[in-house]
Amino acid sequence: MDMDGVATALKGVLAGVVLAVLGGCAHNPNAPDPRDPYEETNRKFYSFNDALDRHVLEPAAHGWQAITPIGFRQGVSNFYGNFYYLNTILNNLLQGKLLSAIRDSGRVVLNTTLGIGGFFDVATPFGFPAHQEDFGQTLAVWGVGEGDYLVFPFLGPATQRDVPGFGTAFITNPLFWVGGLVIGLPVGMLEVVNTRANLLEATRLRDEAALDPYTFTREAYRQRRDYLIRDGEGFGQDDLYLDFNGEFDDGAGAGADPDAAGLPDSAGTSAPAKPVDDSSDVLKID
Amino acid sequence: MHHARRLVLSLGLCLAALAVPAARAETQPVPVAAAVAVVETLHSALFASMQAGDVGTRVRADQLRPVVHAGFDFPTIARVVLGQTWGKLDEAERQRFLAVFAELSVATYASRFDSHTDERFVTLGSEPGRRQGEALVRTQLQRPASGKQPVSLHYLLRSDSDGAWRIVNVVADGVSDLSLKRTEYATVLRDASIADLIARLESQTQGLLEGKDAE
Repeated sequence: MDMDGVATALKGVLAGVVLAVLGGCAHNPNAPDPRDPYEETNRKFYSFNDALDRHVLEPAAHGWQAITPIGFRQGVSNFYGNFYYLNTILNNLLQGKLLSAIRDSGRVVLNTTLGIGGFFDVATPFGFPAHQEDFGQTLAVWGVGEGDYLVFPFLGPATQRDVPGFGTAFITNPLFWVGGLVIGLPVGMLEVVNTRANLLEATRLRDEAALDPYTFTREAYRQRRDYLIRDGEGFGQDDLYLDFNGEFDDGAGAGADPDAAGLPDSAGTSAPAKPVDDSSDVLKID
Repeated sequence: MHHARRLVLSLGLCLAALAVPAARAETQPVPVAAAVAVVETLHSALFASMQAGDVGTRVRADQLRPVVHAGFDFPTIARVVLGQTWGKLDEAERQRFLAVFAELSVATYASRFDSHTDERFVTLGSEPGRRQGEALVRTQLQRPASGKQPVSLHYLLRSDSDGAWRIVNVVADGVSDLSLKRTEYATVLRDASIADLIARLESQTQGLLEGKDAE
C-alpha cells in the first residue's frame, strides 16, 4: 500500500478545497459579521452539506440505528474514538499539559487492553475521563487568532485556525495508515454513519431550536470551540456578559459590544488562550 | 477657586472609579446565595417535569410557566436579544415580543425535560459576576448511570432594585443561549420584519408544544 500516495492525495484535496474557498470566492469585508466575510459562499456549502445530510447521511444513520442496539453503536464510537486519542495526547504535549498527556495515555492503554480494542470505555470509571484536544486548540493556546469562519463541503464548519488540525487528525490516526483507501474508505464511512446516528437526537433539537440554522451552527461552533480551548473552565466572557445595561448597541452580533466596564473585547481578534486573570476559571465548591 | 473645585471633583471621581472594582470584589458575595436559590427553584421544577411522566408537553408547560416567569428577567433578555431593533419598536410590539419570547422559553423547557432516567442537577458553586449586581451560578446536569459526560449549565443572574435575583443568561457546555439567539435574530431581521420574527417564534413554540403530544 502506498502511504505517501494517500497522504499526498489527501493534502492535494484539502489544499484544493481551501484554495477554492479562499481564492475563488467573494471575500466581503463589509459582511454583517466581520468574522464571517465569506458568508455568501459558506451558506452555499452549508446548503450543500445539509442536502447531502438529508438525502444520504441521515437516512443511512436511521437505517444503522434501526439495525443496531445503542450499546453497540456506543461501542463502535468508543472504538473509533480510541484511535483519535494519539491526536489528543500529541496536542496535550504541544500545549505543555504533561499530566493530561500521561493520563490520556493511560486511558488508551486501559481501553485498548481491558476495553478489548477500545470497544468498551473502561477507563472513565477508573478515573480517566475522555478529553478532546486537537491542533486547532493547540494553535489557540499558542496565541493564534481564530481567523475567518469557513464551511467546507463534506467536512463542515471550521475557523481558519482549525484547518491545519484536519491534517493532524488524519495523520495521527492509525486507521489512516493501516487501511489505505480500499479498507480505509468503508471503515471511514461506517464511522461517519455511526457518528451521525449518535447525533440524530442532537440535530433534532437543533432543528427545533434554530430559526436560521446556518447562523445557529456558526455561533454554536464558535462558542463550543472556545469552551474546548479553555478545557471547559470558563467560557467566552463576551458571550456570557452581554451589555445588559447599555442602550441599543450595534446589534450586528454578539461579542461586538463595547463593554460597559471597560474590559477589553477580545472576541474575534485574538485567541482567548488561558486567561490568567479570569477568576471564573476557578471552580468553587460550596 | 472655581477651577480648583472642579479639579478636586474630577480627581475624586477618577479615584472613585478606580476603587469601584476592588470594592465590588470585597462587598458583593453576601447576597449571591439568594441567586443560587433562584436557579435551584428552576431546577426543582425541571426535575419534577422530568418525573411527571407522559403527561404531554402542554401540561408540562402549564406546570413550568409560573417558575420560568418568576425566575427569568424577560424584559432585560428581550432588550439584549433584539439589540438595536428593540429601540425601534413601539410599546405594543415590545410587549408582544416579550410575551412570545417568554412562551418559547417555557415551551422549550417543557419539550426538553420530558423524561427521567438518571439525570440530576448539582450546584457546583456561585460567585459575583463581572459587574455590580450580577451573580454567576455554576451547575451540572449529571447522568451517572448512562455513563455520559455531565452537561455544564452556568447561569448569569442580575438583581433588580429591590434585591431580587433573576436569570438573564444560560450557558450550556460553553454555548451562551442569549448570545446565540441575539446573533440569530439579528440575521433573521436583516431581511424580515419584527412581525415576521414574532410569527416564526410563535410557530416554533407551537411546534414544540404539539410535537411531543402528537407522538
